[in-house]
Amino acid sequence: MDESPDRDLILRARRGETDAFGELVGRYQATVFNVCYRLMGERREAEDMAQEAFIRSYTRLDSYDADRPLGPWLRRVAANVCLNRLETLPAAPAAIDEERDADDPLQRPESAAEQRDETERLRQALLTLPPHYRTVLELRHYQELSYEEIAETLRLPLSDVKSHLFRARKLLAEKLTRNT
Amino acid sequence: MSHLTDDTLNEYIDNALAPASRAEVDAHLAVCATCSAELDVLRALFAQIESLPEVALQRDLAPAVVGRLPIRAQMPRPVRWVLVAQGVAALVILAALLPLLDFSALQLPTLSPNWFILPALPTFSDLLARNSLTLPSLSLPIDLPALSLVLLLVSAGLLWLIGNGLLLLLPRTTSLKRRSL
Repeated sequence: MDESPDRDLILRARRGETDAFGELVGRYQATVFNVCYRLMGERREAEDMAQEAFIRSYTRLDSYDADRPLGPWLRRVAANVCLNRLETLPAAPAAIDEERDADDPLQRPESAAEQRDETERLRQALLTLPPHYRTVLELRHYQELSYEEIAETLRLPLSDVKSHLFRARKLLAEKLTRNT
Repeated sequence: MSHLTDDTLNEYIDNALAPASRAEVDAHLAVCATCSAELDVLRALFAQIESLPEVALQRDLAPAVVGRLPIRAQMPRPVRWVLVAQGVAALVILAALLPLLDFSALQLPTLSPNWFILPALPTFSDLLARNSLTLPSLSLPIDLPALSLVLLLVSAGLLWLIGNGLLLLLPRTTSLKRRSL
């Protein structure tokens, strides 16, 4: 059976058909969850933030241009939801889950372990960055937004976006070098 | 030779430099080993950041999200038409009544040079006593008998009642539908 295009589902959701929005959630939940997981570092918290992001998106569907791709918009909303949440949390570095990223079965065991350690080190280093730094890295490196798009998404001046991004990279590089 | 700044290297690798500036940086990098090495370090950092794998979502979020969605009451087409008809009727009545109002009888208070002294201002009851809006006659620019005008007012009233009744009914039916899911 052919899937309905996103646009049709968006229009139906706008008319109040919650099932249509549920179908969109099913399509984009993995990618939205990953945005939240990168920013929050904890699975349960990331799931909660992903849900919040979808609910916020639903309430703003009327202002969304249904002819534009939905995924990037949802990921931007998710980044904003997480940033708002992070700003309310104490500055202590978040602890990442005990559960680690899935191993690639084709890798040799020692190589897989090294890869896992490397990934864990990177996640940990990202999570120690201040919320705004973490969010601009997310938007630039994982969502591939331009400086201008990041400024628009976070409602920040362009100069702040650049300084946050460049400082975030510098800080991250220092942390990674220190933890090597 | 002055070296490239961190900001310039970042903007270069982000493809955020204007073509002319980018060409200048290219020319500098071609002859400066220090800046080329800095750029390589930055590129390695980019590669490391972007190598972070995605994690699998272990449960379906859709049921929880759908269960928490606020109600979006979409106005049915007939209700929209009733509202439009109400608006048009209100405008017609307003246009019909305006020529009947005698504004010349309205006496606005004139301000004395000492207007800012509070006791000099007329009280609201004085204004009411002095002014009255009168409907001198029911003669209209068009030949509309009084009965037609009354019928017009009654029709507009009915439209208003129906439209607002439907609007009040709408959220109730939507929430009932949600509860029955």
